[in-house]
Amino acid sequence: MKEIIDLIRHVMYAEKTHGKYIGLLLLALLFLWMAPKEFSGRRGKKLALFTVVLICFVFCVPFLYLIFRTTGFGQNFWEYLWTVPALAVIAYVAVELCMMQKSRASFLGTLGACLIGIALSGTVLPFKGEVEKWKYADQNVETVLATVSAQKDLYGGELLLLAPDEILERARAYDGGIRLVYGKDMWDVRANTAVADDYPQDIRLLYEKMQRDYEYPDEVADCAKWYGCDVLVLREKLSQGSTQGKEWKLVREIPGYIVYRYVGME
Amino acid sequence: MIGIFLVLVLPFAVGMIWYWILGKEKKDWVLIYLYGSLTMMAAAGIVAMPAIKLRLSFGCYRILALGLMFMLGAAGMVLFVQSGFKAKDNWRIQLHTEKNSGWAWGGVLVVFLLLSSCFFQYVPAAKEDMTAETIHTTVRTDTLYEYNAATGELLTLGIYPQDKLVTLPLFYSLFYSLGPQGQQLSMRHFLYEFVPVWILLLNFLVFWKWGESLFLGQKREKLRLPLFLCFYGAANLFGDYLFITFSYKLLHQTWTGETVFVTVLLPLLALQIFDMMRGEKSVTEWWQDKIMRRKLVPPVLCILTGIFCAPWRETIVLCAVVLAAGAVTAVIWRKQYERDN
Repeated sequence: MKEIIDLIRHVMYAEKTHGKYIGLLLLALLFLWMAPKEFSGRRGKKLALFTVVLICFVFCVPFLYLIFRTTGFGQNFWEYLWTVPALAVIAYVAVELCMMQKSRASFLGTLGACLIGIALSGTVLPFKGEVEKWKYADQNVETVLATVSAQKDLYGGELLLLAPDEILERARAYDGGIRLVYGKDMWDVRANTAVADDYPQDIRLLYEKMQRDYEYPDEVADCAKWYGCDVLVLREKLSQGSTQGKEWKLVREIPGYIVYRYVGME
Repeated sequence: MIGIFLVLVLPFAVGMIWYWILGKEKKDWVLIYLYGSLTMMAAAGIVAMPAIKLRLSFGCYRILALGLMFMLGAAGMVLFVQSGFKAKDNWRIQLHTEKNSGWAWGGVLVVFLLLSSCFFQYVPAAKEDMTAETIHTTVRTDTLYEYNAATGELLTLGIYPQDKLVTLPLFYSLFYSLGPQGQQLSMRHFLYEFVPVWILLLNFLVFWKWGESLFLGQKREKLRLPLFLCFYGAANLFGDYLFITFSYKLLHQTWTGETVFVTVLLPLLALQIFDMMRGEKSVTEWWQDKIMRRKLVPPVLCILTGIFCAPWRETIVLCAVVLAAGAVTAVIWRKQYERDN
């Protein structure tokens, strides 16, 4: 029962957030159904029928529930909506509307109106999607990764890194020569779901310690040494007089981060 | 150069095989390129399955996969020569031109370039995605799915068997390992800029075929097709935050296997099913027609390639929804046809 309620909620959510494009699709379908044969033709009617059947399938909650229970697929409702050729229907109707016009002026007017209609149903201006949400911390992360990558040659082309999450998140994609004690699958359950291995408890504790590295940098550096890390990125400097301060050589200071590499007791 | 050859030239050669399979007389370069590209993806996946099981090295897999692709390409070229490439009439020239339709094709180009520019200015939404890490790990360790891509460490328990089916990252690795790595071609340029442009091209070609299917034989068909592509592109451009129409995935997570499945394979499958519905033919008549029977093969290619791109449950469920909807539509359409006549 709970799953059915969740699915219905997903349906309502999809309508609420993307109502304008769903509305545009419904308008297009209405046009295809109502328009005289000479405008939309048999193919238009067939497209409308195919789309309506697909929509009925997608919005048929018991059917989706059955799929969900047997395969476990479909936690996000919109995944089912990808089967509907929504943009093809909208574009098809826009073309038909333009072609219905007899004069050049009305053709151009309809063309503009359709483009404006599509724009107003979407983001109004292009390149205005939820991009900001995905922007990474800042350029400093990139600089840290370049600095870490440059240390590789000192360690035979591969090094082991321990760093704050935002650095680790991109490190392996930036350079395959950077190995990590733990990766982004530690804190993001969606990442690397294919892997059967799990992190041992001591690495989970290290991860928790790393979250507060700015409070205990020396302790984190000690752990990093124990795990055999070659490079360490901290958000706070190591104590000058401590053993860790002597074993880890400062490579570069970047606003918000300090990059160290392990040299031992030289 | 080798990568460009593999992406732009080899699919044409491989795609020729499909003209022999489908028994078509007229050659259509859009379909040749599309089917050729999908066949290459499927071939890489088919080789990957035993290679992973036998724990072959990536180098060995590369030789086998590229070898199979080149063999398919050679076979395609032989079939192409045999089918009589000299007969110019056999070629269906797809770039429709009509007086005063040049501006519409210009519009298609502008929309395509605007969409492509998204890949160069958007920050890729790769927070939970592991494709780049998997490519790096595969090429660097010379193994197939034996190391944890998130850390670069050797796996003890390994990867779940069903996830070993998703071999698209290995297909990308083939191309990445052939190109100049490091300073000249970073993963960012390869995976988040070049690959998306190629997938966007495949997506546009699929909708090109949608347009052709919808407007074939209609008045001013040659103007309708570019207009259709312009509107389709604009809808993607202005709907880039939408999950329901796959535009978000097309512009922000283009390189992922799920996106390839949703933006290329699923619309192509829907188109193939849509094209198969002939109201004027009953199931028996349809089955007796050899050419129509052969049309069942491309959907199999789509589903097979889909299994290598996205998790199998997703592929099977979404393909089944499309196939079931197609079957229901065909029945209704046939009844309507019988009533009208």
